[in-house]
Amino acid sequence: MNPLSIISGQSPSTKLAFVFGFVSFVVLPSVLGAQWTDIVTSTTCFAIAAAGIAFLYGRVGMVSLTQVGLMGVGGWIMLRLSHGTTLPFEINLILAAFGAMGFGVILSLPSLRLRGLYLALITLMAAGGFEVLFAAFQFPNGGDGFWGVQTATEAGVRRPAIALSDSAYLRYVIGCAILGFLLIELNRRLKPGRAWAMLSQSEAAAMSASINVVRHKIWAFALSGFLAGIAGALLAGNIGLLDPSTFRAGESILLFALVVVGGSTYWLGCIIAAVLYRILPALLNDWGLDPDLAFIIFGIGLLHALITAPKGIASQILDRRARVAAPKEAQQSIEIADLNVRFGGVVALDNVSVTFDKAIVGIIGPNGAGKTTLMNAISGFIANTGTIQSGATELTSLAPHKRSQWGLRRSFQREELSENLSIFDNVLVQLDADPMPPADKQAAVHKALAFVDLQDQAEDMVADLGGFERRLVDLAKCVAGAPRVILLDEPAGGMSSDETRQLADLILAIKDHCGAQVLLIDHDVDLVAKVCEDTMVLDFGRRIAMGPTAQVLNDPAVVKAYLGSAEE
Amino acid sequence: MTLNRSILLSTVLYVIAISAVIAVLGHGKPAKVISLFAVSGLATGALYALGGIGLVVLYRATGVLNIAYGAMGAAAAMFAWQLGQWGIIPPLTWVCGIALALVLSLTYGRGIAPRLAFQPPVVKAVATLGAALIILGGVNFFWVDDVRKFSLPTDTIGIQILGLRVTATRLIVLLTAIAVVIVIQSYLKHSIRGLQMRSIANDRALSALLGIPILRVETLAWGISGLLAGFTGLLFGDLIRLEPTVITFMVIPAIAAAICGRLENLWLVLIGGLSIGLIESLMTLSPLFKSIRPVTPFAIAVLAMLWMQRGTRLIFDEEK
Amino acid sequence: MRRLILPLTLVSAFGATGALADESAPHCGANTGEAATGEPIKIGGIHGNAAPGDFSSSTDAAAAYFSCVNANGGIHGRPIEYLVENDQWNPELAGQAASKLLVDEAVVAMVGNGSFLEMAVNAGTYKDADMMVMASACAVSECFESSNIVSTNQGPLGSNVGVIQYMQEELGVQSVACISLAIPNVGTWSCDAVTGYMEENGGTAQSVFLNPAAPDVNSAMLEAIATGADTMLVNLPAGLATAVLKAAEEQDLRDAYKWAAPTTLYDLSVPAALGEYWDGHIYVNAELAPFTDGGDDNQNWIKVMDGFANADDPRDTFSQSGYLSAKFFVETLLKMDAGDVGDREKVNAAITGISGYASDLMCGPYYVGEADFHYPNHAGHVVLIKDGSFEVVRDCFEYNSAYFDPHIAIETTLGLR
Repeated sequence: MNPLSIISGQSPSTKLAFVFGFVSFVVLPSVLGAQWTDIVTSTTCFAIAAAGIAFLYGRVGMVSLTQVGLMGVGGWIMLRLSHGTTLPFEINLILAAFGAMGFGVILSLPSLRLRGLYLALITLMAAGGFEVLFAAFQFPNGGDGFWGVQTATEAGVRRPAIALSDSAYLRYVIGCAILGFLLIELNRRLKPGRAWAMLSQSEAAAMSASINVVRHKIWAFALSGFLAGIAGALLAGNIGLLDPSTFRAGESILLFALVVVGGSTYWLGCIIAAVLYRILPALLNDWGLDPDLAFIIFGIGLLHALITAPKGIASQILDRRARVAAPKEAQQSIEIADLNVRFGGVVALDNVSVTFDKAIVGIIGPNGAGKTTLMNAISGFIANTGTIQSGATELTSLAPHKRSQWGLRRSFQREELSENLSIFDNVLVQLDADPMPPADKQAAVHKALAFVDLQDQAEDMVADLGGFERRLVDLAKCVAGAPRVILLDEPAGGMSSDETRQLADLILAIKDHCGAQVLLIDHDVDLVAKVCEDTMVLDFGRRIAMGPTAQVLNDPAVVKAYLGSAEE
Repeated sequence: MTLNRSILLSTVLYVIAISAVIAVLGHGKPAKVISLFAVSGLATGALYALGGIGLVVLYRATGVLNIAYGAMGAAAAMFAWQLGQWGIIPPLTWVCGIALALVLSLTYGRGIAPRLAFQPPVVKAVATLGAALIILGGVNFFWVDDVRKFSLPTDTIGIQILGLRVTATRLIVLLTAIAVVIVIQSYLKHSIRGLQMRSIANDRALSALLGIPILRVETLAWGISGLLAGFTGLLFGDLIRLEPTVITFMVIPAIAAAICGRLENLWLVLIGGLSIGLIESLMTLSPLFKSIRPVTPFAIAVLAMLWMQRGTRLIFDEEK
Repeated sequence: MRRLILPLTLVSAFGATGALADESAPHCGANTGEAATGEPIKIGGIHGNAAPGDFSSSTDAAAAYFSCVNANGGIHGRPIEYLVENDQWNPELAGQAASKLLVDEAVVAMVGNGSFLEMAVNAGTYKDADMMVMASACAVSECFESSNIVSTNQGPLGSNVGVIQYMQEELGVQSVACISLAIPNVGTWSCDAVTGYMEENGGTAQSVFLNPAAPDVNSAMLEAIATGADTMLVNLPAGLATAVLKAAEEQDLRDAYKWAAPTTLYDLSVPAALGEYWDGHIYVNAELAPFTDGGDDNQNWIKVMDGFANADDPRDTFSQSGYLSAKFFVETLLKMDAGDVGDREKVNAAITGISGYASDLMCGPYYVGEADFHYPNHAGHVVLIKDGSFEVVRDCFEYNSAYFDPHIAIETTLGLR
């Protein structure tokens, strides 16, 4: 997909987003009264921040409970610069955004080691820290020194020259929000988005698809922090000063919860989250409802939405499915020497030395024999001793994604595709890191899809595909571009005999299609016998046979390993 | 073997770190002043630890990190105070307060938690914020802002420790924390229910297949956690202050203590909580840090978590 | 637990209403006894009522007084429509409330505001709109040091300086530890003024700041002790002050120091909450007349509250203050031409012109005037917590801090001295 296609022919949801953004920008500031102008301005600020955590959670699968704290950072910088310098608003806004982005990058570091609840809690601790710091140092209000605090507030923040009135400022903020949403959308639809989609599903899959996981995680947090910074700075411009109570840790948890309620994978979800966060309480307050009762209503609504709308209110409105699948396992041809893999005291691979030099090589063995471990070692996912080489290229020293870039491809036992991307995009992910020109990438993807006979369904969403078609997409990923070695881990698992036959034909055609060597693991000995020239047998991590397939399958040691000694 | 070495390394580093912190913060101060702040800090640390232990007990058995834990405690404390105002004898008010927290905990655990079982742990945790808001809103609605004090008879008994008078209530906090750790640890380890709890925490669906009575075991866990929440709430109301919002959000530093034990090891939660209280109090001695000393729980939690995660890689985490 | 005892107090409130016709009837505005029927005059008010504290008693009292006025001829026959917004301690809501009242509702004046942060957020807005706000329950410096807000209460600065002046003059206090929240425009501002006062009078004062996020007040207590002061000034909201005093009780520090507090502790629930231990040991500033005072305005305030407020609206200092702001406002309007009372510009000019109003609730005169600061109420009382209640230990006295020199200069110009 190229950037042009973002604009043309999009889903109804995207079209609705354009209409919504346009109407908000043009109409809202002119029709709202003074109070509602203020309310909607603050809501829009929080929508920008919500967009940051929403894509982080919905698209990248990482949780940040620091977002409102990071808004405080952006707001702090805006206030400090506005009071301490004569820089224009826009410069302050950008600096505030970059400042918060810096903290976002710091926050991303734990995500390299942690995920899920643990990561969420670390970010919650950061939010708690921000809360204390804001309470201790307060927000600049025109004082001297680094902290810029004095005992009385001077005039508030300077607003942008083009947006001095409240309604003009609302339009300005909505404009910023639209740009913020577009920034995310752009990232999501291009390379980073595909990378995030992969790594949210499986980091292993992402690495095998040439994705630099570390860089993409940091980038995701940085982007989220950037948006929080913008949101906080704009909020400071709305009321002119900030109070630490706005940025308590509990607020970050609440905003995250509302993003889940709204629907983290939808643009509308962020709007709903912000509306629930700011407009609903303002409405209840306006109606004179006791704020304590408003809390109760709010809590009930939150629980109800989490129970009844697991994908968020936006999914019920937009009726669109989201979510991610993942890649498979693929491998290529290789010389292996003295390969050892240990998991604690367990020897998974014991001094395996072998050379695979035929176009298609099978690897068989009983469960637990070390077949997949071998593939993982070749892919670089697990630590090993010994060497793995392909011609002059020493693979052992390369990181997984570098091996993938070199031309090592892999499918996994369950196909790892991104359900919220089209078939075309799923294959394109594989080529993102490739230096070839975009037009060539498009051509390569089309060629790969033609190979598996899916060229007419290129724009279909993977979510709509059946199991066999998914396998085909996976295979197309493996053959796209210029692979050298393809590792297939049980490609025929769960296939009907008819489908297995088609698959066998395709595997046999790989060499002619792209010249890559294939290493195939499968329990279906018939398939192995049909397509593999050579076959290696593993048992308890040791190579017990290797040679022409027919010969190996008749080896008594192999029969024993498969059928047990009673069979002798 | 490697495990033991790792524990030894952690212990040595911990002792060095704590000694260094005490040396740096207490530099140039008389030993009497340092010990005064140290004892005061340990007394607060015991509160963090007790809160953290209650969170971990529930998390280990159900996989739910209960952010409403503090709110349940606040409800217990306010209810007990109210009954006291109505002239009911103190022991009965405490029992009723704890019973209210028990009911709230069981209501959530039986009524709502199972409907969220399909959600990832993070969402399960943030969902409890909804319960916290409901409880806090209700408590604030019934008991409008006013000055109140909740006292236990043990407040009047005290002993001098290193120049600081420590009340029996504070000793109860510390002893309860230790007792809960011992009892719960041995329960989880040696009883069938404990084994089932560990199994459910590990994989709820698989445990159901194995024939573990999930509802019964989870109910038990929510019940224990509710009792602890109520008890903790009463002590917080006494020792911190009787303000529902303050007690409710005490859950955040308590989470910090829980993180020190990686949400599983109760002994580490106890040590973590005490260390947090100790260092936080000693930071008062530093002109530089005293204004930001409440940062301590969060900073220590982050350091502890990163230390415990050292050397791990994430790649196949999901398949575990 | 006011809500649960509501049915009980409702009964007593009905009793009071029933007796309204006789001598217990309040005196309000023109006091005609006729309900006002003309075109309503819109007046705004903002209070803060949410989790950390309830500042709504000032607008409650103002609303009660306005209802009473409406039942007694209104303003030249026109009733007051009092629009009250809640900022919920949220600066965004505070800004929104001001936008709503000033722009959308186009109120003629703002009266009775009681909030912890609304004045800091909206001081600039009021100035731009030329609205002279008659606030009643202020805490932040912006309320006393800006051109378009005047408050009836004293705020933390006057309140702390007042009680410390008493302690210094009567009890020979030499050094003070001012324990307060680390909030610049409240804690720092008022503790700085205490330091200023003590230094002017040959003593010393040190500030001990508490981070509002800190659950543990013990360390702050120990820190205050470490200053070596002979007096502990507990400059904190009542709830937190109670916690600090409890920590002091735990260490049995009562007799080692003298104890003082600003008006935040002048609340009828405080003596009971503190318990017997503190009986006779804490000196508290009272900004307005003691609740039991027999003065006309204090008695009228009680009658207005009984007749026109909800039974569960608190009867505290902020309530007195809200009543007084509303009363002064109505007096001002009644002096204007009937045709001008709906005109914001003229009404605010009249408010700015207020000078020399007096009430037995306040020790000094009430005035507004044109200045960049307004602090009419800088004289008060000191009470001692005694026998589960408060005992007045010093009646009306003026605070002699250099801080008030500019104010005294203005009062001299206005001919009030």
